[in-house]
Amino acid sequence: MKRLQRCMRMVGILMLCVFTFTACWFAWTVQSQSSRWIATSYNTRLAAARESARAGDIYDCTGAVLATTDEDGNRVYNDDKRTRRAVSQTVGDTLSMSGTGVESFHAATLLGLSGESVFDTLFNPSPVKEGNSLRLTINAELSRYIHKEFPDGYDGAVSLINYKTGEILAMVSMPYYDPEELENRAEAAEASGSGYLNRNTQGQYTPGSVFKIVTLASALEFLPGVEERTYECNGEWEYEGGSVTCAGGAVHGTLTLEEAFAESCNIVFAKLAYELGAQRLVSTAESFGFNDVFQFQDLIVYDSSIDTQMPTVGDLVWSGVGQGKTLVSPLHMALIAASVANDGVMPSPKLIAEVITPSGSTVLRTQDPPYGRVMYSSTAATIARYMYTTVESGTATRAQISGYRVCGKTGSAQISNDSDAQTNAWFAGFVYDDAHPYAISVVVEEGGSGSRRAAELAEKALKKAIELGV
Amino acid sequence: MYERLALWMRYFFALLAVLFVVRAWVITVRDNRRARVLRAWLPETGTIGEWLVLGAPGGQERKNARCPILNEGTIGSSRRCDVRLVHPDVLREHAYFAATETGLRVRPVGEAPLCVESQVGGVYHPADGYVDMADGDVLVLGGLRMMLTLFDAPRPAREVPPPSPQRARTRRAPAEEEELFAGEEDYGAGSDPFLEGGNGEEWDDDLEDDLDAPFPQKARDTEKLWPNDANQTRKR
Amino acid sequence: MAKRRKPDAQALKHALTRANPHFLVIALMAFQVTAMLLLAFKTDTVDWQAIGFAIAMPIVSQVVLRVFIRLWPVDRTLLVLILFLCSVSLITLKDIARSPVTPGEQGVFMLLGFIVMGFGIAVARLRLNWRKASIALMCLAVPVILSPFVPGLGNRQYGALNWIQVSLGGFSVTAQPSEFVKPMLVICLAAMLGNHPGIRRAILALAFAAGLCGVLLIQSDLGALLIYFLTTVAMFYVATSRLGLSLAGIGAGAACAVIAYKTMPYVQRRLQSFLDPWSDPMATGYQIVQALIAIGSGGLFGMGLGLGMPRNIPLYHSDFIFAAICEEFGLIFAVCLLIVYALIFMRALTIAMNARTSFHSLVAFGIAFMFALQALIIVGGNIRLIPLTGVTLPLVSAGGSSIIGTMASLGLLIGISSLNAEAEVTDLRRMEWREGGGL
Repeated sequence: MKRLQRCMRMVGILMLCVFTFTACWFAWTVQSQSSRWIATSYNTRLAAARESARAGDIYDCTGAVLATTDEDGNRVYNDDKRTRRAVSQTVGDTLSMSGTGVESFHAATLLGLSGESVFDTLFNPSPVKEGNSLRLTINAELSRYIHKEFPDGYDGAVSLINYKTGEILAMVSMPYYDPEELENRAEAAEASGSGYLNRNTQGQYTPGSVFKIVTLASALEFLPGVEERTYECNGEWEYEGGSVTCAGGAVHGTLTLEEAFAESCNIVFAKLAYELGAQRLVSTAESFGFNDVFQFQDLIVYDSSIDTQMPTVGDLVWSGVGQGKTLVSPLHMALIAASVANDGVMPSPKLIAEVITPSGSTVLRTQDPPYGRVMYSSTAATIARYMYTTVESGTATRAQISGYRVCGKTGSAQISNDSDAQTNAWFAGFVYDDAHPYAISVVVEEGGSGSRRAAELAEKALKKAIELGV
Repeated sequence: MYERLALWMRYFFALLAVLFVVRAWVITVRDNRRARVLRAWLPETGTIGEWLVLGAPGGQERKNARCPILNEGTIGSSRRCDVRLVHPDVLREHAYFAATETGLRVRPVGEAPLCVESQVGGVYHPADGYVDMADGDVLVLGGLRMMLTLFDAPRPAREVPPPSPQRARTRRAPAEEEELFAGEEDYGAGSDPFLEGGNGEEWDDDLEDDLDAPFPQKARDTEKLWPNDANQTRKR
Repeated sequence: MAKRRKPDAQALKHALTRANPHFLVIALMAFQVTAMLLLAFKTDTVDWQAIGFAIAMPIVSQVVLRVFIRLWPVDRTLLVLILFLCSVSLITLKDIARSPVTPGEQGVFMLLGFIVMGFGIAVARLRLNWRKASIALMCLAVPVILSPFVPGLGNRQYGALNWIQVSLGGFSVTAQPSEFVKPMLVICLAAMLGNHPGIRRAILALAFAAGLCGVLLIQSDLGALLIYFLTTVAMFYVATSRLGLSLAGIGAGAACAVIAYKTMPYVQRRLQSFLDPWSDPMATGYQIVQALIAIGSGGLFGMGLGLGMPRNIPLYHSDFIFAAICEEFGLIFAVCLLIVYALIFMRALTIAMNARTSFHSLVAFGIAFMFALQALIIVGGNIRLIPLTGVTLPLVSAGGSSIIGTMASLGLLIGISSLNAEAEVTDLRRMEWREGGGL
């Protein structure tokens, strides 16, 4: 009998462990994932709730109305056409055409389904169920300006964030769409193609030379004395299976590391990647957030990826210059720039500044903690210095703003092997100023060289942001 | 209106569920603690009889040691056995025993040597893999002899001396308490709930209330509580 | 070991007093009444069935408790926990079912179930030669589980041939025979494997179990198959404490599962919808996606009774009733429900450990394990922890056969608890006798 009881006890403890695990996993999953589940368009409850509840308003950071419900129960958006279109993917729409927009992702809060306000539910005298209002971190005027200044005829994305807090100040994605012009889902789906996509968070691009920030961080942390060495660039470097050339066939001669970064010399960075090896380069990239599953509270950001295997030398050296299978979203790139400015700590992106109950009080909510420390403080300082040099005298001179220390890195990402095809123009950088802590990332699809279109657009955007003092 | 009410009530239901579960958990833990207390203070709980060691020269068992037994069990020298006998003649798992209508059936494990000296005379060896024992018979395992006493036998076979508390205590390894919830401190570690007067929970003194019947203090009370005499569960 | 001291009467009485479940009963009745009354006013017209339930449920709970307690010394807290599950079932079904027939049917089956439970208690207390009785039970179980193969009786549902339908003059009843065979399996295994079985007996028991599993495999009832198989392995391990053989058994089962995956497209689809339901949310992933949406919509406190839209979830009254409960009652309530299942398992395990014979101990253990396993499997399937299997949440899902089978098993369990209580009284009396009268 004793033996019997002993075995039963063991099985009993095993089952109780399974019960406990199930309960904990359940609670954790629901807490972290439920907002994603209910935001899908397959949720018929949202449609029903929209009929019966009055959705709350959406404001920008200054209080300007971006979306509201009028007396007839229709959802109306900002009056100004350009503003409306500039923030369209961020704000979203009721048909969930832009699936990651605030209207969809935070529908439960907007419709009052999520029980944010216990007291409001209990004591609200209004007969119609009212949802909560949201004040976003974005600035409508800044978004409008960026939308206007975006080069005509090109697609792309601009993310402008506060590098200290991670607050998103502008997220503009081209092409756009107009939420007021959506009649019903079927027609809307047939209409414009990728205007519903928020390229900042859902677009995954080859980074090109802006990835050299990561390669540089990896070199600084793993290769001692790499700053003091001198490097040779003679226009072409051969490795087993191919060769690396610099952009535009440039020959840079003898360079320090700082100059190589500022001039965006492919050969130097390809050699650095070769010296680092796949394991170290990938480990640095992964600490920057590549290959991680992003689970931010305020918005969905698609994951960035880098090939962990890199079977051939060619894979490795081209990854070092940001080509190959590496993919990154513009918002993630802005976060990377932000981590350089923020002493090596990458902030978490934030979109919701405040949740306001129908009675006007603010709901206390927890915010995401910073994403983490992605590099040493000293590494960040060095990279910031190099990025400053890039803007002062390197490839990003078009991004200069007088009176401010602008730091940045350009990139021209090759997207096809066709030598006639245009590259994607990239810019990632920041304004190093406590009063104006902005980090920005710009990508102009098929925009040519990053030092032109992307840097120019970044300069305009940053200048406007400084002017508005967001 | 209904909506408002339903929204209020969901907090009430959640609260009720939590209180329900917490109380049920406390009751379950307390029941287990109670069972442990009973087992510790009344070690003969759950017995149908006991073995009395008559003689065990050469082993660690002392004369007149007692070993209470449940309906079924194993005899052997390993710690997993219900009746643990440390003696060179006793194998790790020597025999199984199980209560039957008339007595105890002992089955040797494999070819383990044992025989039974009947009280009325005669020595029986296992046939067909088992041998039946009655109250008062002696089990012989090599040099070790144990007498079986069954509490519900028609009449006691011989004068059974009352148990000597110290001896009975040292025989049983206290570490074998079956505790469903590990983590409660070993009972022998010095805490004494009886002297501390319990942990302050109330109990209802009302015997009339069905939900609530405490166990009887005196033997007489059992008859009132359950009409079917518990002693009748095992018919003779 | 502490020195033995004469305990004083108060302290012993305290130790001997069972904790009384007064508060539990009151909380339960409060829950029943308030929830049903709330549901009565859900629509503009007063729902008389709900009012009827609001009156009947506390009455039936009290009657069941008092009758059982008066008849036998049963485990009262366990009864209250079981009543709680039944209440949750009735309240949820009343709330979400399309027609009032479903909760009405469920209520009737529960009443029947309590009567069956009474029989179960009586059966557990029988003094039989269980070895011989189990042979008879085996002979009974085989035709019962084969009954869906009888032409005219069998009824294919959801791709599995594990239902029978009996029509008596226009009134038809569907039943799932595998649910009735469950307690029989436990009894047979416990009788055969109890008390150090020889090789022959063990093989007989395992062959019987294997035969049942084979029949279930042919019937494509994979959920019941999983439960039967794991229960057999667990009981085998506990009875013989041969860890190696038990693990080998599990390994063999896993190998069969892999073979099943490779050969049966049904299993492949299930696994696919578990791994990535969002890739095909309108077809294969539909069930689990809708379940997840429902669970997510519930939030912490739920959407409120009657305010959710649980009918979007397919099979919301049987397989996915847990997701529906999450939606309406919320995460906190759902976790409490899970804890109630765990508590029932713990109490049942205590009953098994306190049982006096290995047969009763194994029966109690087998029932406890089966009950907990079934709950875990279906809850895990609902929340996408494991792939979905077609079993019901015991006592909460709608389904007459499941209720009757579970009540029968729980009756056996409670019967064994009453045997334990009686044996305890006997021991105390013996203790008094040996101490020379009076404590």
